[in-house]
Amino acid sequence: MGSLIKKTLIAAAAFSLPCLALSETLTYTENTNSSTEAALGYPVPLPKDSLVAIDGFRTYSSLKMHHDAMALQHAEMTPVVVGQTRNNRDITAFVFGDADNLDSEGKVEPAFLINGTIHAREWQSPEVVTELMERLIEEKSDQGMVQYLLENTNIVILPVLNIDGFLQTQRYPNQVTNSPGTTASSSRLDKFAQPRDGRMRRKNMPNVDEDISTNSDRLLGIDLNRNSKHFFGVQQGNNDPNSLIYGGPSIFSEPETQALLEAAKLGPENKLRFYQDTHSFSRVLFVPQPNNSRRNAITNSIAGKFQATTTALGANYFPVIDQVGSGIPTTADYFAYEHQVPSWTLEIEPPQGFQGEPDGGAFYGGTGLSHSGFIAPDSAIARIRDQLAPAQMLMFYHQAGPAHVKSVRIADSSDNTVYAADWQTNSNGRSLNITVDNVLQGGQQYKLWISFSKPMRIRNANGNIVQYTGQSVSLTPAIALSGQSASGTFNRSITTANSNWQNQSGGELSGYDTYKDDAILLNFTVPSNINVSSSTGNTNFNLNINVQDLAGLSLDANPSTVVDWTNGAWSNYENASNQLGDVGGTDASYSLKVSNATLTLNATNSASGGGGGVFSVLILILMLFLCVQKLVINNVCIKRKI
Amino acid sequence: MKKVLQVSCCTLMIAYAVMGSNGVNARPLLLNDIDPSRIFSESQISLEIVNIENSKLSLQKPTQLNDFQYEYLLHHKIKHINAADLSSSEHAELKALSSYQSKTYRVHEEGPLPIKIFDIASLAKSKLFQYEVGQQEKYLYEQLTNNVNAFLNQDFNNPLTFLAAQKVISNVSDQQAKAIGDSMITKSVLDKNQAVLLGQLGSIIVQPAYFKKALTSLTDGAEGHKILENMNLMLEATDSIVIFEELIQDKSYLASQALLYYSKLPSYMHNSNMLFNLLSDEKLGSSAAFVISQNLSANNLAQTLNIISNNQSSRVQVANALMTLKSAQSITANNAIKDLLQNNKIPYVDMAKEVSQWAL
Ligand SMILES: [Zn+2]
Repeated sequence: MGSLIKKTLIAAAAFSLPCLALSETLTYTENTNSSTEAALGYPVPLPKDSLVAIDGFRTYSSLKMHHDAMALQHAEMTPVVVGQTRNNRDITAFVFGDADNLDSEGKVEPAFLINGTIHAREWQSPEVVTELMERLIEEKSDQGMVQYLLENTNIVILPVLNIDGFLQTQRYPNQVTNSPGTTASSSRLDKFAQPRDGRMRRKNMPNVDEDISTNSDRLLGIDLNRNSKHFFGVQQGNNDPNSLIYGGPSIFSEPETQALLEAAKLGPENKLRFYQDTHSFSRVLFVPQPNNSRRNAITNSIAGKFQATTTALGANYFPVIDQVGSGIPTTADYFAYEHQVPSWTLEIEPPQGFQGEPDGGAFYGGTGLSHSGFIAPDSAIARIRDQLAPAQMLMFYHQAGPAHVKSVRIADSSDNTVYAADWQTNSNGRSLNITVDNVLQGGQQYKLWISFSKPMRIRNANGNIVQYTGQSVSLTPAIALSGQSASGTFNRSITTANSNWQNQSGGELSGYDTYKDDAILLNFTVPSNINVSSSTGNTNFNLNINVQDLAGLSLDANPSTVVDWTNGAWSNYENASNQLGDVGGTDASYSLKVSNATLTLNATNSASGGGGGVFSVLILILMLFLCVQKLVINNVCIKRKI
Repeated sequence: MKKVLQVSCCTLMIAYAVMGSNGVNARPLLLNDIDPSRIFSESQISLEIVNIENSKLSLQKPTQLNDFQYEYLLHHKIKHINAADLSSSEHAELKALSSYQSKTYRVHEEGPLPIKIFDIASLAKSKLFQYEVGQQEKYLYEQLTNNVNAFLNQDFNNPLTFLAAQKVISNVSDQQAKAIGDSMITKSVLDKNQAVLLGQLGSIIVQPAYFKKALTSLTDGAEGHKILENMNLMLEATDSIVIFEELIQDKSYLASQALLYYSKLPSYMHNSNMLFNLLSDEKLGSSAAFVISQNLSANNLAQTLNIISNNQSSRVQVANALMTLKSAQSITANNAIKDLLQNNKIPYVDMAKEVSQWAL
């Protein structure tokens, strides 16, 4: 009975024996070491056929069929063949979004590009990237973050770039060729310091056959992550065809890297705001730093947010920040230097070099065999996928751009609208269209409804507003009324709470606008203890709105100019003082009229007749002083952040 | 090779920001933390190895060894220690080496991270763990030979016990396997690790009932995929098909994998009703489509085309019916696709557009 297994094993062994024993191969095992075996210390993962995510690694054919079937089934996911591999296999990128490339205001959408499996042996990569694709589809009707992304951005995902190489690693899932310079007979010592073909193939497959035992081609291939324009050929080994990091005969010589450029054009390139190349292993982000301080500050900030989200989920993905201007010919460097977009090389776990956490395969209780980090156990991959998807989604949400106020409504206790203003798109940007502008009464209670251009909050399973995993933003909106009274400036906060966020439909003055939690609704009382110098006429109250989105980006303080991404930083993104930058701030564009008759008549001022005089001049001077001081402080802040 | 900023303010800022909110202060060792003399290029590593191989260097004469040579020889020595049978001095040495700090590094290919060339500490820990598993295995084997129930009453949720039990089971006689399995199968509920052990027993004495109980008890975990793979290799089609169909109809986490094995069974054994019903399933529909495609009889083709043209069909059904035609890769199916396109019979514009781009 047991013989059945044994027969199978013998058959497998016979199949794997090289018929012309030219190149020495080593077999990965769970526990046995010998001259032809190397123990990992855990079961060797073998790819499985499955068209759904499993506790393990899927075969390329399964992944491909799964991607194609998802794309056919869902209008939000479109396959585009962007090229062919060296061995003529179609390379497909998938575009996620609605049918047009326009956002809700008719502007061309911002774009993001995620590349997967550029290195064949990094099996964590296609799984992590496929998880992201699955979530974009599974959550496409969430009326929240994902739906917003699909309707307002253009997400391009290329799950498997180095198909020929990936197939080679799956053809020999537990076998690897020896390092150069040694053969079975030449050494009794341990080898495989630099395993190169079979399961450990990294490069593509030009003039490389699919037989692991062929000795002459096992070192060949081009490192697709060294074939890019910037820093081409700078590293030792980039010009050696046998090197692990051979860059190829010329810049973008490989059909695979050309396909990646085609995928970028689907953005299109000039709309890209984020690039990630997805590798394993080490559990870090390698973050390029071109000579662009604003771009670098934004990139490093979002790398920190990425780390915070994964850390909250139990995996500290640490950003390793490059020295400014120093790089190698990776695709992450290419997108950083060529297009000035935030970009990085994500190295999926296992970790490496973290104190208290074993390196590579030893992280999973393994032997710590050299290169074992490329072979994560089946039991780890579902957790890995789950820890990374939310962080990547947050990057899209952040790079979609800061929110701006869309609409403001105020209604009295009889539900009559007393103020209505909407930002309307025009050829120059936006203008505030005020359709109702009635006089409010001091001491009276009103309803205030403000909607924003993106979903601003998420909720837990109980329906409570919570931080996005690992983030710490101000969850409660800060709303204030300010203005000029007879006795000086005033600034009165309106009491707000998390419960003001709306996740029920209903639209203006009753629920969310377009996406869940894109609007707040609250009651407030117009203060009556504001000094006025006359009981006739009105006083202007400015409505100040200061809200962070769930990634911590503050509002565009001036919605009349439309935020975009230019030369690696935000454009038309103003702070409260109307200064451009990457910070944003309080939007105070809304002026409400309040009847002086319902405010407090100031005796001194009314006696002096008509106001003004020395007192007012003093206030004016004080205000000017404060204003200048604020500008200076802001300048300093911005400079320091850059 | 990239360099990291010396005391990079950005790096520190990010690290501390995270530390503040999450209490995490871990950062990896960076290239800057390592003396450059301890970093070896790939060619230096090759050269060092060749030199060691051509020399008579030995751990017995440590003063003659540089760090690379010492770590190479030490790693080699530990690797060949038989963990099943540790002497007390080997045990002590491994324990001491479990906190060994590596002195030689190479550089990560993609960025400025140093990587230990020889992970001596991890290897030593792994040997000690294997030793413990081996000791536990001996203990469990004694329990088993005394009394099957004594073995079954062990806490298999303890990872060490579970690993040892798997090893014990891989070496039991058919008679012992049957005794354990028959006892396990009578339990109304098996917890996860018991189910894994039962699945393992199923592979040893090829018992469909063991596979069935094990696989239908499991709700997650990599082991289930492995057991299903073994079952597919070992059971007769008449036995395996029953279990595949149960997993599929239960929508087990193994269902897609089961469907793809099912596709390899003779098509006359397939339950067409089950498969066509599954085409409307968001998760399993594409797997069912693949099964149908592997033997697209005239009947199945007609039914597939009917789904596409029937305006009661859902998007999911239509998409999966189209996937069936695509995966069939036959002249008949390709002609059917061409006909659908030419006569505008695909009810969704976006689908028709995608289908028109298929290379037929
Ligand atoms: Zn890589």
